[in-house]
Amino acid sequence: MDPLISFSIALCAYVVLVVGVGLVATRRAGSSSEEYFLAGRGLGTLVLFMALFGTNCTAFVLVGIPGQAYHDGLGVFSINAPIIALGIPLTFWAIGSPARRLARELGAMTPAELYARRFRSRAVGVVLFTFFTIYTLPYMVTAIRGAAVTLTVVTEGRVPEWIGGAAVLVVALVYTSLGGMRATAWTNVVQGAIFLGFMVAAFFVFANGVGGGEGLTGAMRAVRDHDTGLLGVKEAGLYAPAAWTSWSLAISLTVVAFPHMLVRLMAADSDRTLKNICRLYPVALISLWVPAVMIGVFGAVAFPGLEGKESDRIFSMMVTEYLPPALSALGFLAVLAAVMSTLDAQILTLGSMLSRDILRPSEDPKGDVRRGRAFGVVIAVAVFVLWRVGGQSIFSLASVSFSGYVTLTPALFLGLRWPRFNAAGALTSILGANAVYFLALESAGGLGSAMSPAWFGFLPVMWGFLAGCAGAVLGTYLSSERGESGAAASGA
Amino acid sequence: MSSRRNNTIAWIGALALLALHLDFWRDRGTAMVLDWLPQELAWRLGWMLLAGLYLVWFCRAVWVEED
Repeated sequence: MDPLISFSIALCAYVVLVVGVGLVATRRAGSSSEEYFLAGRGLGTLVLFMALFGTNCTAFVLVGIPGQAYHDGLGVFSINAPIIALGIPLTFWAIGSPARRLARELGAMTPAELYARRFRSRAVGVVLFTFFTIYTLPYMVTAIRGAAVTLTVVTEGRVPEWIGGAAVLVVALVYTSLGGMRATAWTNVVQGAIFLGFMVAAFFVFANGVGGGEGLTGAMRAVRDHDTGLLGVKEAGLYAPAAWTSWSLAISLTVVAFPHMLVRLMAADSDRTLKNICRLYPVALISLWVPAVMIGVFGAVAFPGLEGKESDRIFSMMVTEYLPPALSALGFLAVLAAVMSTLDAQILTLGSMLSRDILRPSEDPKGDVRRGRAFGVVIAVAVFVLWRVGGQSIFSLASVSFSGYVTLTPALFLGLRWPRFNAAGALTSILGANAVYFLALESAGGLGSAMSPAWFGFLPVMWGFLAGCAGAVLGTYLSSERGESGAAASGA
Repeated sequence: MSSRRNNTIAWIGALALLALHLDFWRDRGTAMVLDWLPQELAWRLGWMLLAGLYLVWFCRAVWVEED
């Protein structure tokens, strides 16, 4: 079958499936704003786990990580996967669990609203909303670009990039607007299953192909014969001790500070559900990261000689080389699924924050939902416009975003775990951390230097985080204002 | 076991895992285990197994459900 036809069929089936699941979720949902924004705070283990995992794993893991592993080998696994397998679940306990409880108690439906109510300070909510938005929009733009480029490549240029990007946004917007959080969570189950299942299967198929039919043993032998360095860890750059330490901090703390992740933790039905998710996370990460990294390593054997960013094409090259057309269509759907499972959560969360954090919550519960839907459209249009007119600076900003979220974590954590912590402390922490973070970025070489050493070999994120901790303590003790005590700042 | 003792063990466990992750003292060789598993990958998977067991224990002994 012509690859374009098989891809078109698979794409249509995928769109029908996710929109259908979204519709079914809508029929199960009520009409209140709590239902729309937080699925009635009733997500159980399976759906919430897939929603969190699908949101957490962007197309970067499927495309960018193999591209990086093509050059750096197994070190890409070593520096990322282990520490997030521990760090992410611990942040779910440290921040996610008390955030869920306090949000329920205070009736908050967005992360910024939660902290604004906790501190009884609208300023805290607005500042948090501002940084959440600044760091999330560029992220969404890069995701759309990735999906659009994939569609253009697969259709051999017959679908222009702008149409591909617009189509992805429209589909995500449709099912998100239909059923809110519940629809996005349910579709994430499908999307997560697609990309996780594909990666595991592709890993074994590619190993067999590279290994000349001898499976993993043959593939590993081929890698060793090609370049034994790919089986170890480099010593320079991101792998030097200070940079490695900074990156470990960044990658383990950043995920819980994504507003679209934190809001999903707030939608859990119980602490028991969150515990179950923490137990499952390491297994799921191994299932995704081992294939993602090894596809890049195997790719270095199959397609030697790619330079720089050319290696970002290694995922699609391996898919095209080793899978029959009907199955290779699944590979591109996997990328699309990973993009959309994050994008829908971002549209919903930013829309809900505009609706509830910038405007005041409506007296009419349905009014909030209508505004959330309208703002979802506004966010989607803004992302599209930024993508088309924003230029390269948007993509530079996206690399800043990932570490940038970490600057918010001292305030997010202390706001839930330190009763004395007050609004002045939160504002000093957030603004101070970001000021130092951007100064460190400047020292490291500018906006595109989030992964380059700043001072004493440490990455900018480390300095931003330390400034956030110091700012929190100083701001709190230098202010006469008292923090909330007791239930409002529930402890461990 | 008292919660204070569990908290102490949790801190020690987390710090020990962190020290094993920041393993610049280790010889990060490229040898194979069983002829198909790179030593580096085996070490990291072993670490993740330990971290997984730690999390199972942590959820049971340290994380207090407050619903």
